[in-house]
Amino acid sequence: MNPPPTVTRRTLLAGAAAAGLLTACGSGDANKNTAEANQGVNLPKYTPSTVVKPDLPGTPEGVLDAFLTYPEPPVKQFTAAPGKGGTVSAFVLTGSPVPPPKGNNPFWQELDRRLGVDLQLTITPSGEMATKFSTLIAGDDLPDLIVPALFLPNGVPAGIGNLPQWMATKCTDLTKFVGGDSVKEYPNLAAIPTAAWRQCVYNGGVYGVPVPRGVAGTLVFRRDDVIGGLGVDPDPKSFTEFREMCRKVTDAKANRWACVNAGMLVFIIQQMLGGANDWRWADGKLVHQVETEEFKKAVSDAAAMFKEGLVHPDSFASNAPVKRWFGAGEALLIADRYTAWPQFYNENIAGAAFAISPMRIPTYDGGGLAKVWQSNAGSTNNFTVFKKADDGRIRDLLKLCDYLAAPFGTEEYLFRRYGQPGTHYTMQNGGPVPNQAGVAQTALGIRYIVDAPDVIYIPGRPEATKLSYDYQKAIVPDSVPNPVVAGGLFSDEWSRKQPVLGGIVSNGQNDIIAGRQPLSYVDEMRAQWKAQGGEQVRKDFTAQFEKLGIK
Amino acid sequence: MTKALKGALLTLCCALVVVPFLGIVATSVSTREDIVRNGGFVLIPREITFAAYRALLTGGVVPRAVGVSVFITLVGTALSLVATTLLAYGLSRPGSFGHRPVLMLVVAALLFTPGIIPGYLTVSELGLLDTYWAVILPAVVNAFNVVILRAFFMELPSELLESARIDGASDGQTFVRIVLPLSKAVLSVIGLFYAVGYWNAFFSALLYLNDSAKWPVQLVLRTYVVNQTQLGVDQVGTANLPPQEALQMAILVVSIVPILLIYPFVQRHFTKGVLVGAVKG
Repeated sequence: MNPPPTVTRRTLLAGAAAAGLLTACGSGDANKNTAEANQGVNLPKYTPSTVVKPDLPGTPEGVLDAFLTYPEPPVKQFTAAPGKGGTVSAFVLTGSPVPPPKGNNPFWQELDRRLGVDLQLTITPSGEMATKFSTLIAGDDLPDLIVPALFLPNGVPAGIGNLPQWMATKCTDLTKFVGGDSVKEYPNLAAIPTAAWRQCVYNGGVYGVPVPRGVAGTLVFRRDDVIGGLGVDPDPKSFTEFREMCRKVTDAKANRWACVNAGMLVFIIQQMLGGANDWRWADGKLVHQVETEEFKKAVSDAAAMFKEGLVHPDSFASNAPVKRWFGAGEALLIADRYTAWPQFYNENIAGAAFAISPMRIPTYDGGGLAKVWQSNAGSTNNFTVFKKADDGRIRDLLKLCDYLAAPFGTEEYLFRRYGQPGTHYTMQNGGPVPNQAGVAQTALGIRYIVDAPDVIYIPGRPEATKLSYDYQKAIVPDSVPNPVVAGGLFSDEWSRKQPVLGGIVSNGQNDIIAGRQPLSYVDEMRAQWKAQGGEQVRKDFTAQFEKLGIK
Repeated sequence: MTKALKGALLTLCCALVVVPFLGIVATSVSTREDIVRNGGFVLIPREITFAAYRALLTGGVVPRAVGVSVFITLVGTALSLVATTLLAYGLSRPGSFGHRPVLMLVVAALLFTPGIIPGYLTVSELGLLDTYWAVILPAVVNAFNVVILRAFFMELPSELLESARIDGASDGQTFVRIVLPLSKAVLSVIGLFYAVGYWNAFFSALLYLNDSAKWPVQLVLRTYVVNQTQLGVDQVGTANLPPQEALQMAILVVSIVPILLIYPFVQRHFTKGVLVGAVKG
């Protein structure tokens, strides 16, 4: 499950500082980011890549292409370097330990050679993004490419108020370079799905290149080896059966619980009940999840299950090592993104017996399967904006991005992700296995500048790849999007207040589940949520839904 | 209270301090299996492996960052001691030039700290961005330390300084020959304060150093410890790498040990140094 966003004193200050600055620099263009302007944007024409044929093809609705092995030999897509020399600077983030500097980093040196430029990176740990970004704006000495913000689990850029206004003043509107058929000049960018580009639309233009992700978001992984070993039916047909299954597999004396945390229960039960994926837009009314009866019911059931001892007792600790519990078999169900799959295989101690699969969620009262929520971040991990520059420079930078978006199966992708064979990885069981040098040197954060469409590929585990693909194929067609994300809406208030509003919901939910507050506290949470900005956010979004004519 | 009870209480207190540290060291040399079995924190590893240390030290990032931190700490502490001592001594002598305004300035710095953005703009205007000086210079004088040191200097018997003057010593000579040798204790303590501050420099480094090659060890450490996964979003088949917890604990050891080594040498001055000057503010 997507972790709730945390807000520290520092991010709050930095966010406030950035917001203030952004207000100052963008006041002249305050009204450019309107729903009307954004509706008519000429989005890049989607042309799927034909460079590599997937083993299992994806679908236009959002099922990802799947690969059982890395194509051998990989396709060489580029014959010449995309760059013409000179320096390209970029502000990127990383979720990995900092890589060795260029002088000590053969991967970085080789990347420069292949790109044909001197790539200067300001690498920022993702946790410090907001602070560092606010100083970047203050200094006004912008690099060529900027990752301006992280997407929170709600699908909007985080912590940076007035982002659209800042972009209008300082960044390039890319529409004339990539809008419509123009994007064909950059075939790998043309292969990025339209939904991802839509999340780069601000001020009536395409303001960035996206890092696309699949719409199939969080799923429930289940430890089939353990559950099967206990002789329990792993496919409950209703909530009652689900709770029964949890009871049967839990044995606190054996240090084993059904669920890693109670948050995932609220997430699952709401889907069983057909609850709102963050927001619900129906009959001209916008309702937030916290205001729905499904939410209240889910919290109530989750609290009962927690009280019964079906959830790992330490799960309220911040940074609870839930993945490790799952790997160690201390908890048998976990909600996580599809990208977590390979990690579970790498970090368990069950050896060859280890078996996991995605659990299909039944409807609450039985009789069929529940509709699954799409990723709350939409189809984009983040996007990258371009500092204002002349047309020639922008085209050069787009060519560079085109290279960095070379699809899975190409030699360029293999290099970008894993480095050079022998030095950084070896091919084993149809997949690259990085060594320590590979892991350290490739963590440059360039994958957050732009990326090829995601694929399903679990190295060395074709059967798991197939499971993941089949699951997506089953759930994606009638999956439920977050209407705000799907509509590509933006609210400053939401961007700024989301950490606070999210905190009200997650803290309140935890208080009720842990028994510190009665269920009636949900009403108090709703009141707080509305008073502290929720009502304003609703107004913002409602106006945009109405203007866009979304029913 | 009986001796046995005292002993038990002391053992408990020691354990409170020692056990977590022992756990850090033990976890850093544990295998993935041990770590998973023990819930992430190993006290007695069944098998010892130095894979985490190898991974840390072969990449070149951590040794370099330790080098940067050592440089920043040594140079910064030396500069800080010189600047703080001179300022505090000047302020401790009644009638010195600009005495009151400068003292007010120091006290004001104690009360008001600059915000992130003004600090950044100042450093940027001075052309210090992406240099080690950006981490050192803004922290070179700590008002609190100036106040402590000034109070200490004011306590020195004025007869001593007068007799030096009668013997023909200039202000400089008095300072170097009389005052400094008498201030070893307080200087070593203040030096330690500064050294720990520089060694732990994280936030200023994050703001002012864009080039990750110049990052000190605390900033590098944070990217290891805070990020939940070793490889970011997309995990790949890397079964032969050391476990994340061992790496995190190993880098903790690497970052704690150097500063820990200094403590025994300064400790004997510690109690005396902090108390001296503290009673007269």
